[in-house]
Amino acid sequence: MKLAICHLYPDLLDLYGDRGNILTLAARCRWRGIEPVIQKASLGEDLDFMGMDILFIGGGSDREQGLLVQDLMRRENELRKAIENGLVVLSICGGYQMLGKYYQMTNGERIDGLGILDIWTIAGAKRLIGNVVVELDEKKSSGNSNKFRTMVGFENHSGKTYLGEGISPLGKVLFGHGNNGEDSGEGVRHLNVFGTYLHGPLLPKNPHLADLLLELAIQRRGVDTSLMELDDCLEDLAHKAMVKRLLKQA
Amino acid sequence: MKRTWRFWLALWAGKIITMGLLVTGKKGTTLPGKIANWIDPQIMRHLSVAYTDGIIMVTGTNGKTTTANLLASILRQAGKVFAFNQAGANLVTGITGALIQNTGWNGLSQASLALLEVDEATVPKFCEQVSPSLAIVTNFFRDQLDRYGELDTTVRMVKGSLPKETVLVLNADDPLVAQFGTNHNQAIYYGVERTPDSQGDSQETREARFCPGCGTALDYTLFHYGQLGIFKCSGCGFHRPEPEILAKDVHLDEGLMLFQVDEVAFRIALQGYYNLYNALAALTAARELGFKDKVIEKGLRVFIPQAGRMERFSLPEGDITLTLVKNPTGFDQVIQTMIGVDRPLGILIGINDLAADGRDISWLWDVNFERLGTHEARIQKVVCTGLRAEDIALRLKYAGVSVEKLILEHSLTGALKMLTGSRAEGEAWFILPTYTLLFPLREIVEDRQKSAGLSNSGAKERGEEARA
Repeated sequence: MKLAICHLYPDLLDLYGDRGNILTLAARCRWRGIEPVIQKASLGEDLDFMGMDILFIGGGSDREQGLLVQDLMRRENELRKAIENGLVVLSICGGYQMLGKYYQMTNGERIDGLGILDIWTIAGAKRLIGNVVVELDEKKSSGNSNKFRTMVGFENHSGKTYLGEGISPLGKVLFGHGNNGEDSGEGVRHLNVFGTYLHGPLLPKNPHLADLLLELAIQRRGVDTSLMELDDCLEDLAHKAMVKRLLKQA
Repeated sequence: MKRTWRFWLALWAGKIITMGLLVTGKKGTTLPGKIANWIDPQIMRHLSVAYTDGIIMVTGTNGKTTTANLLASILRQAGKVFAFNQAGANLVTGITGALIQNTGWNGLSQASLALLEVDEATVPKFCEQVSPSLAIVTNFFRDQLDRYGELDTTVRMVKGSLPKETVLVLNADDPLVAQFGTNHNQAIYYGVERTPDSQGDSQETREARFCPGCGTALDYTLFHYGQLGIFKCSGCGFHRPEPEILAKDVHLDEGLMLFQVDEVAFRIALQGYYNLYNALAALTAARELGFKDKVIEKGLRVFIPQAGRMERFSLPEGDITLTLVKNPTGFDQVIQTMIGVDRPLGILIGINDLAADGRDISWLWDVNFERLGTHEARIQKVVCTGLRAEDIALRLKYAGVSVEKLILEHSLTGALKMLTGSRAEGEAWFILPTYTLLFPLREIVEDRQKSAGLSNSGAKERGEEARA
């Protein structure tokens, strides 16, 4: 079996080691005999959202993010259709903000987002930086490999993201700031779209999330196979070391 | 500006604390600088007026300390007396402390020239008070983003704060640095024609793929390393400036790096092509200061690398190379050097995430460890230590190093034992720590070297050479 993983604009959106997420998804496919087909899509390149299995959108610096919002706007319809069809999307930081309705800058000016998620972001005065531990919402994150109830990572953002009424966060912040540093929520899940502020990168130390994305992608294909168990000894150690250290500090 | 009572109080307080520290056997310029700045926030301005021959500033992401030390070595060869903030004390407090140390109780300076390494984020504060006669800008890479926000901001901040009358010594091969010369009164460029590793295509993490002026993707005909190379913008015409100082015929020979500038042969006892740029920056500044090539050549040749920059130790079990790692570009260069050694490898990597290391360790995933993965058969073991030992082990697993070769050991003494406990035929050992692990690990290695009655092999050889 093959899985098509698209890394959107890696030449623009590749901050804070986010490419580690792609490396992790690819390795966890290969170790199970699934062939990962990685597409690194550049600005203006043809994209077939419907044919993809997993779409990854990372974060970039402000200048680079501005360059590509327009490019994505042109493809908004196709992306929306694919998402309604169950496309698995992982969006981080800037990528997460872009899927929302708008980003409001300090001067009050609003930059339109894609409006796929009912969220919006307001520029904050203070950068929210540091390690994060999140207690995951069971309904949003359950898959076959359900070994951790937590998610760990590193946040670095000045935008504060707020969620609309019908939508709830991926989990509750136990350490760190999360979406906005106010309501203790972090991230969001809508259909198979995951948004979060967590770099680190996210997936290496959260193998349960990596596997959840792979499972959802396989299910969308209509294939009825459960994922083979992997030896996650190192992944588990790295995850637990951070949870233990941070919750002791808290 | 007139010196006020605040200045004298600050100066004397600083000097008393410096003496106090000396008496108690401690070195340090940070505490005296801190107190002096608290008493007189304008003290750097008042101290700086004494340097009638000028103030040389060195800034950039990587290579500041090495560049400053190389230039200091040239200045010493020329018999110059100068103020210097050694040991990387490159924030306002450390710079003030160094200037105080060089100033007498009467407020007069012992030297007429100052050589100051200045942290990128400190440049605006520094230039507000001090107007450097010469400013060397080495390069801009992603480094401790959590401290500075994003790279763009840092570059803009540094560029905006450099006084118009300052002569700039710029790396022509780094687009982020080369742009500093646009609209500036006087800029001198240094660059490299090619190194044996220069490529037409680069897979490394690159900072400036886009023109700093207009945002168009840059076209490269050659990459030296990172985003350094020969570039051109098809949008606005910005391109790699023609370097006045151009290194040609670059090659390595037995731990030495050799190159030619204008038919003069130079050599330095440093590995890694990033050090070629550091030498070129020092050379360019020295020429601008009016020194002869003969003095410059000797200053570079006799330079002995400082602590933890490709430093060699001899243990009874074998030799160890110790080198600091702090960002993807630097680490990539170290990996390239290790692979170039062409022997079985035993590696100890220590990753901490304290403030001086950078709290965010995600940069480990921007390092091209996959290159180690492709030479997996040569790797005997990788001992992982530090607060983030698990993270670096995990990174290596995903880079293709087999889990059986990865050893987690949180104790530093234990980690060193794991490294030197067994040795394959010809195995080369490397210790690669982040900043806060560098000195603790160095101390352990040095103690073991001393107790075995051995001396720092690399430094000794170079010392003899310097006398010859």
